[in-house]
Amino acid sequence: MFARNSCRALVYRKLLNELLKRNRYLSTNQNLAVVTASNIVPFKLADIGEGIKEVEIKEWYVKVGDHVKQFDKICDVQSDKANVTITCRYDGQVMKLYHQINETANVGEPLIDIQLTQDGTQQLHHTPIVQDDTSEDRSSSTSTGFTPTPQVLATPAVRRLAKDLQISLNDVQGTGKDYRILKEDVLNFDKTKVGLPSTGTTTAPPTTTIQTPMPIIPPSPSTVKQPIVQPPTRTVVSPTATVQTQPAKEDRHETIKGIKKIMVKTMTQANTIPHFTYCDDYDMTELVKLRKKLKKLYQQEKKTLKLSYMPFIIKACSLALMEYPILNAHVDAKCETITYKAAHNIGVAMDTRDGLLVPNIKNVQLLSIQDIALELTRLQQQGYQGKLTNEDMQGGTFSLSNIGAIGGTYAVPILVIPEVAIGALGKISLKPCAPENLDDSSSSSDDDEDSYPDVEFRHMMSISWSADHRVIDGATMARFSNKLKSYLENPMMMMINTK
Amino acid sequence: MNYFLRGGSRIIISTSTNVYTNLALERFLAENIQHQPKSKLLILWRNSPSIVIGRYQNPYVESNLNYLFENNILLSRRYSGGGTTYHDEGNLNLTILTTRDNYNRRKNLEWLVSTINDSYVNKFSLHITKRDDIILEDSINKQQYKITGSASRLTRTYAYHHFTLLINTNLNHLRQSLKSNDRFSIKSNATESIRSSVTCLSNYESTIQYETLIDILAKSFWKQNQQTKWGSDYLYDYIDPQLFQNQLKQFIDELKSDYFLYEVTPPFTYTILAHNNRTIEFSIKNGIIEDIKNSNKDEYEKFYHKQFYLMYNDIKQL
Repeated sequence: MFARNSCRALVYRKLLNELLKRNRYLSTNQNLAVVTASNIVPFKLADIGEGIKEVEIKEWYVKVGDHVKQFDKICDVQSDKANVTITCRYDGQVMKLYHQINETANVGEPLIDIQLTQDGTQQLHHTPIVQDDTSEDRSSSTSTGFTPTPQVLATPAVRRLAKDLQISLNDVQGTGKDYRILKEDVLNFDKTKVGLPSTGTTTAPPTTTIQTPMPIIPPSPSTVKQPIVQPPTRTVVSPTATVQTQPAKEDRHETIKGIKKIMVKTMTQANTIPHFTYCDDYDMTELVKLRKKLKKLYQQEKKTLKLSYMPFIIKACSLALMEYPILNAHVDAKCETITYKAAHNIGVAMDTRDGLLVPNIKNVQLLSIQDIALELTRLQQQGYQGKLTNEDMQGGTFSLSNIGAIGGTYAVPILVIPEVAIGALGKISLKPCAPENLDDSSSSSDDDEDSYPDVEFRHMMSISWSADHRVIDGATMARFSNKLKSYLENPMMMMINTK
Repeated sequence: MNYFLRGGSRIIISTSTNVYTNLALERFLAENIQHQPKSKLLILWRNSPSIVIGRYQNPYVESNLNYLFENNILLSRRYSGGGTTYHDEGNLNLTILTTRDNYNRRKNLEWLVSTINDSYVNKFSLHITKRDDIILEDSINKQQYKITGSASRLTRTYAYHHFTLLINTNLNHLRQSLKSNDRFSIKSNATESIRSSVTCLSNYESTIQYETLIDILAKSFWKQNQQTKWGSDYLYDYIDPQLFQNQLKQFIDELKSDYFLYEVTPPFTYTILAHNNRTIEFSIKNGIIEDIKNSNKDEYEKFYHKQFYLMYNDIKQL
């Protein structure tokens, strides 16, 4: 028996040397044992956590000869009240079970032997396992071109990401378990490397006017500001200036990638659609009063109200869309079909960690204002964490951008394809207005007295609508805007029309 | 329900007191929620009187099945490992559900201990043992009593740690239900419960009540998990599992089935001293009597290859 084993060892050693020569090691996983030419790999019991060193095998889900895929259940083990299901790391065929039921298995020791299905060039699916010290001759593969460090732990997906971004994993500080490098670590490192400020919360600049507060993130929407204000002229340094000019910093090049790249694509596409813009001012005084009242009521009940103007505006849009359904439609790329969408999935532009995104609130027509407020908060928080799902992002039928939270009045928003309408909300500010019921007769009688009518201050919000002029005409947009205006200026109308 | 499935820290209270429904709910949420890293889902639930045995335990060893039957106490098996617990409305179940990587049993228990110690200063002094049990130290008789039992389940995509808290349980039923007459007759490799003296919190603070305790726990949970809060006055959501019968059905059926209650019991031998001083030994595997030693011909024919749990009472008559 001993002789046979040593013979086998000799054979393996020979094969090893062959492999070394031809450098056919599997790629970047320096932690694994060397794979023999026959591709049988011992699948070891990974660290379970809580300092557990050994477990009892309770149930096997596979037997010798079974074909398994990554993530298939291998066995259940139990350790001091924790019942753990061990799943497979590789694709292949089970060759050997190392333990029977109720036997003790140790962390870091093999559970089963698997013969891998593909040949040696397959990259093993890898989640960090206990260090294996028995693999000597760690000559690294040169596929990433970086010098290896045996301690670097990262999943293949993370390694691929690092490779795409041309980052050496050795430079990245891992924050996962056992200092494992996570995707976030690589992305953060990428940002700091390029000198980008991390997109954290930027609070809206405090002003004395009442803004439409978006709790955490003010959006940087897809708008181009109309040049109402002159763009700042570049200051010219006169030759006689005594100020010491600093040596010019180098130009910084940055490849456009990620969300920015998507923005390039969608904006370019949207630019092919003929937009028209219609602007107006809404009197939000009643809404401001209503919100103050609600806040007071809540305070009395010792609850705090987290309700901005956005939920009201979103709900009012939905009510108005019921009468102008063409604004809640999609057109196909060739502009041959209009699809009137049944659901009002209203998108709200937000500035998230990943850039400008427009997730949408589904079925606003079925939601109460409170529901909308909760959904909006959820989307903002998830957006802030970079955790918006595909479902959140898809299916939008109408969009709003609250640029007013940062500032500004009128803008020319660009459509979110394949929608046909988008609104940009300016900031709410106190403006002097003539009183509503200005009596013409009184003004003429007061001519000689040179008195002016009393001026009222009202909370006005400027709003700019853009629409696809191929399918939407100005009159429709104007009428919709008026309808919306009437809802926002008379919040009672919203109440009696809500289903 | 879809709302919950998106993930994020939350507190959910089940309005059902059926042990099978609640276990099914726990598993359904574990498997279907998109667990977010660093978030925790706290599920609070109570059951009508039931016994819950661990995944690899033997119900005959752990409980007195006849007592259960006579007192309408349900028998159930959970998916996590560990020992047997007695549940009733005075026993609060807490489940903390997270991603696999965020599993931290000790941290959960420390949270509970600090919450209760802080809220009931001078009434209780709880601490955690090495085995991750929470012990109440009685300052008068210097005894130590267990007030929680823990168990966990870890898979690739999720991990949960659930534990009980004895608030106001019927300790009499508890003791009687857990006292099996067969525990010396059975030999097996099934997980054995380690028995300890227990007590209820209400024995030391009579005003303690489920409703106020829930609020205290919820507030303390949000203090610790500030990250995602759904509005500043949100404490918890109630969930009525009845509304999700379709989704829970497969788990409920499994949990109630004789297969899961009896047949998955690890193999064991059951020895009985028959009336004529014979020692008959039954070997049971997968719930079926596979072998009988020392029986006479009639007995053999009667019991061989039958379901043990069906034959149980007859066997005891021997």
